[in-house]
Amino acid sequence: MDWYFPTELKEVPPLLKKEGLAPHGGGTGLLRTGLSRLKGLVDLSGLHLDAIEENNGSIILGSSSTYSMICRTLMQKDPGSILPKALSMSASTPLRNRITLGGSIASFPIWSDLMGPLIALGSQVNLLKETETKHPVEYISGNRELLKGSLITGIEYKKEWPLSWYHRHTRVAFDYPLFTLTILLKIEAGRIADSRIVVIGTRNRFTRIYELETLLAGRSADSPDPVDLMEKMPELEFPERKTASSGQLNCLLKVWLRRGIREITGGERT
Amino acid sequence: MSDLKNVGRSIRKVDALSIATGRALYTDDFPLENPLSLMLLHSPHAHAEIIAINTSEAELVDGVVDILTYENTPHTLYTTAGQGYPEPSPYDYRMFDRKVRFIGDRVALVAAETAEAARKALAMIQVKYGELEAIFDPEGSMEPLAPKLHGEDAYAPLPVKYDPLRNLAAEVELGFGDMAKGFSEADLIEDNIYHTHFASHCAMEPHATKAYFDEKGRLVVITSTQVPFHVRRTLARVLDIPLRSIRVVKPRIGGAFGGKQEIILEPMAAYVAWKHKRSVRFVLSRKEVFTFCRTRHPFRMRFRTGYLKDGTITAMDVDALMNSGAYGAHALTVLSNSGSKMLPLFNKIENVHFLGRTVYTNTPVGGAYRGYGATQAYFGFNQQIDIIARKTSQDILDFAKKWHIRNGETSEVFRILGEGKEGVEQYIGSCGLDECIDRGAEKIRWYERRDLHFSPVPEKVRGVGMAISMQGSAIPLIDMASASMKMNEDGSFNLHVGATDLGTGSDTVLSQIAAEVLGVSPEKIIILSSDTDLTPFDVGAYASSTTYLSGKAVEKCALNVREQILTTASQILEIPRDELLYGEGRISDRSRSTEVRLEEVCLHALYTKDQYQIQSCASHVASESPPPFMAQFAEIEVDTQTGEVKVIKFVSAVDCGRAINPRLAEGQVEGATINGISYALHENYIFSDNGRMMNDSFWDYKIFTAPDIPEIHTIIVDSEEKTGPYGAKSVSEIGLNGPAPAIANAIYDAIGVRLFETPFTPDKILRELKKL
Amino acid sequence: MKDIFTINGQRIEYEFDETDVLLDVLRNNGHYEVKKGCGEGECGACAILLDGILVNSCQILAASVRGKEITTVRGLGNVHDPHPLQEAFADTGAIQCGFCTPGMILASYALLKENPHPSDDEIKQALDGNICRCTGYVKIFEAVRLAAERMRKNV
Repeated sequence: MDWYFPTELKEVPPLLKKEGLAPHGGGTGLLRTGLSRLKGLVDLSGLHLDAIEENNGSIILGSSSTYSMICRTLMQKDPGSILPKALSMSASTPLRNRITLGGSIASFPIWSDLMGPLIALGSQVNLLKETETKHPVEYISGNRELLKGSLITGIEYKKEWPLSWYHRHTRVAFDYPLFTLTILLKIEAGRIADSRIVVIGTRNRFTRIYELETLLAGRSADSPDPVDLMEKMPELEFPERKTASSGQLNCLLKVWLRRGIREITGGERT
Repeated sequence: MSDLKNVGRSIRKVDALSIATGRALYTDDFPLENPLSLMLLHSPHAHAEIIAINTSEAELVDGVVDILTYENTPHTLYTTAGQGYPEPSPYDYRMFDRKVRFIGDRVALVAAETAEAARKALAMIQVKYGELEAIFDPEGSMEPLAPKLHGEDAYAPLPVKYDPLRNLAAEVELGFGDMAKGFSEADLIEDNIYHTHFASHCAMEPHATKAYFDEKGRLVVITSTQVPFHVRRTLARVLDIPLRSIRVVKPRIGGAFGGKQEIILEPMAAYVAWKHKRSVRFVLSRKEVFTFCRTRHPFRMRFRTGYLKDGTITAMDVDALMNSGAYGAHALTVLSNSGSKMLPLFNKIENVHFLGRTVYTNTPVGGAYRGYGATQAYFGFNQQIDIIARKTSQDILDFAKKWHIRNGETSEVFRILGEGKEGVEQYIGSCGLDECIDRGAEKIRWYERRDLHFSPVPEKVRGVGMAISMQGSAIPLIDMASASMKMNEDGSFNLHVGATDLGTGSDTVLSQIAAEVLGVSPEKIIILSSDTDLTPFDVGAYASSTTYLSGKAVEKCALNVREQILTTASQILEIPRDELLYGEGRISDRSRSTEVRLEEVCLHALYTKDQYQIQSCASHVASESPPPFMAQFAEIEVDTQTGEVKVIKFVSAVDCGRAINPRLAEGQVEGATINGISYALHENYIFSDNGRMMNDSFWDYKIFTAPDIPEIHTIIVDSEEKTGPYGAKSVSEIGLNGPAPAIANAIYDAIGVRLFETPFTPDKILRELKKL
Repeated sequence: MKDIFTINGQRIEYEFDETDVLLDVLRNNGHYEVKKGCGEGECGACAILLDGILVNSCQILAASVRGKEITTVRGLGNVHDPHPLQEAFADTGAIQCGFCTPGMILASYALLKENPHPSDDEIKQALDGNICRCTGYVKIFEAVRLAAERMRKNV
């Protein structure tokens, strides 16, 4: 296997065009999926893709930013942001120090702590192939062939969701979540103006619960009454697991949705 | 004994700094010259006959030196259980076999110049299997039509009940009193079935063995083991080579918990080394530790308890079924201990019957695991007494105090049930269980919490529960430990013990005992443990024996040395031996006006006249096995919407006799407790329908990490066991017995749900609450 | 391939395979203080500091290390001159089998460097990637608190 250490972005597209070459960020994802199919790795560490910036109300995250870097920086640049809430609980300290944003988007595991928040935030992914293009992360997640031969250079999202809530459903602290739940809310004049509700871990990896977003719109932020909403919640399809049936996960999801909506609108955290 | 200088002090572990600075060597840290890499091929079938193995292509891989299968290895039957001789476990195992009996079972071993070559060759071994019907459910294992795992050749080396043609790996029955009378007198009968599940030891160091030849051509085996002397004996027998040609060295061990009381890798490693006269390295992957090594034996235990309305227990009938998995390692003794470590605790029950059976199934192999059957038994026992206490409107604390064994009392069970033979009669000489119960209750705030259903938020409810237990300290009249010691010119002593420090701290505790006897600081004791060439025999680290048994051997040995010191001092000072005082580092006359320092005593002995080495050795066999006692308390919180159980606070109060090193004793309790909580709530083997363990990594087999740790309190209750060294009993296993039942009892206290099956996963709670 | 590694302040050239992980390269070259407990990034026994940041060396391809500084537990101190954390682990009984200890001490070191006065929750969070099966963690938390206190006094 060959290693390439580009120092300029323009060197990367021709490399990734070659058969069997993959980008190397932190390496944690590559080591899990295995290296045997690969002919070479393009190490991204010389490209300085780890900047985290704020520009015109948008946050721009370089793809080599690790979870730890994102948590540390965003706590200052975007306090209240969903991303540190989600990523600070993900995996473990030594892994958060190594897992990169780009690698996580590219591999999108079913237990991802990153993708729920990114989808909910409406993030755009910056891709470099021959040219630079931008795509909504939700679109990329459904059209993963876009990533082939491309380099994820970073993402950006607008700082427009001051209210956020995150739950990862695990057995112990250091665990794959069985599902994650991201809720973002905008409240205007005492009413819920807009919301994003995303579940990771369903059969299609992620599900945005549009039905619920619609139902929430316009409700009083004081008493969004999640109980009646839950009756209208669609059953989500989870992959069958030995440890938890789809029925059980739906039941749990509803519990956490109710709690999330209650807490994000000002109720007590349980 | 308040004038103790070393015993009872929490000194640093003697190996702590070498470990903390990364200098301590574990098995795989010993550099060898060009060792062969050994790698196993495991069975993909739960039950199959090997029709053919073709290794010819694999042998062509560059660097492959040998491939072992049942066709080219010794067929000697043995047990992997590292126990005394003859072992109480059946001989049902060969180095390799033409039959495989669980997914993960050994099929072939590649020895190659590099790990890469071995891995490559493994993939090229062609095996044709004839699949056989498999049996996974222990309940059906003894059915006449159930598939049989072992043939007529398997046998038990001791005269015990063993019937492989019925899949019966062991059977134990005992009884006394009149069961019919006991049950007919009863007002009520509590009849429940309890299940406990598989678990892995999860020692952080995976099993590892290295072997090389010394300059004289003797085979040196460095191995991660609890039983170096049993390893040597077993190797000599299985490989049919002279025992004198083998040296087994136990280096630092990265945790064991019973999992390394098994002789799994050593025969294969030694065989390759001996055959090729090469050094070898054999280290398992974490996945292999999960799937190929040993587990905690799952149990089904039915308790039938007759009692009067006032709570008087009139009869206790226990029917135990233990799943041995594919081989019978510890099949008899774990089963025996599920009775012998539990039944004596309520020694006032007059009518008792216990029937236990261990059966083979095509699942991973059970083995010794901290708690050793007692853990499984106490799960049912403590819920049973919680239920009866509640039904007779008594506080379980009072109920337990009324029934538990006390100082000066005995139990028929001690006499009847031993390990592979009759037991040993014994009277309890130390029991601080009442104090354990009282102090534990105070710490958990029992009377402010019990029956309150305290609810910090509407969907969460808290409860408290208690569990009591006892264990043993070594196997009486069977286990032997020994120590030898010599004195040096600076008043220091070399102490050589067969006892096996697994990380438990026994090197430290034994040094403290020696230092106490000899009136020196522990730094003056230079300890070396577990090297079959250099140290005297010890059965090894199991059955909660080291402090009690090896400690006593060290005490005896040191007393001999002390006596020699006094004799020499008497010559030097020209004062009769009986008029001498043995003080700290010096011997003096009674008025302390004339004295001689230890250094001078040794110099005198070594260099003056009729020179001799002050030295001694001693062995110890215990005539009884005094139990430590424990009361454990859990405060838990159930999320009634998600079914999650969270331990808020856990208290363990232990009577372990005098703690030689209180901090290390606490550490034993804390480690066992967290293991127990983790076992009760999460740890489990999840099997596919064809018997494959599906969660064979730490990613999926979840054990607690730092953020999961609840508030933990450990209380060491003062007690004094006259038969132990400086009053000590054992402490390392007992802490695992209480967490599962204490948590189960606390769940009931919180939400009125009784869980008869571990682990307490959210789905079980939700189902009981009718929410699933 | 060959590369120069800086380990505990010493520069040294190692030969290794393109797909080797750092853990194997370190152990193959005598750094036995870096332990292998799972090889899957779950147990933390192989933890090291890479440019001062705690990482699992089994989850890092050696070829990607290039010029970064590696610190193992031997880099903090030795038997004759131990680091306060090494002393505190010994003093509190935080070491039983010790297989997790090198990783545990490095995780604690990384924490105290950033945060000399950690809360109990911060200690737990910082050690969340290091499994210990012996101690139940209780004495390890105590060790970190004790070391933090001693280190604050010494500064």
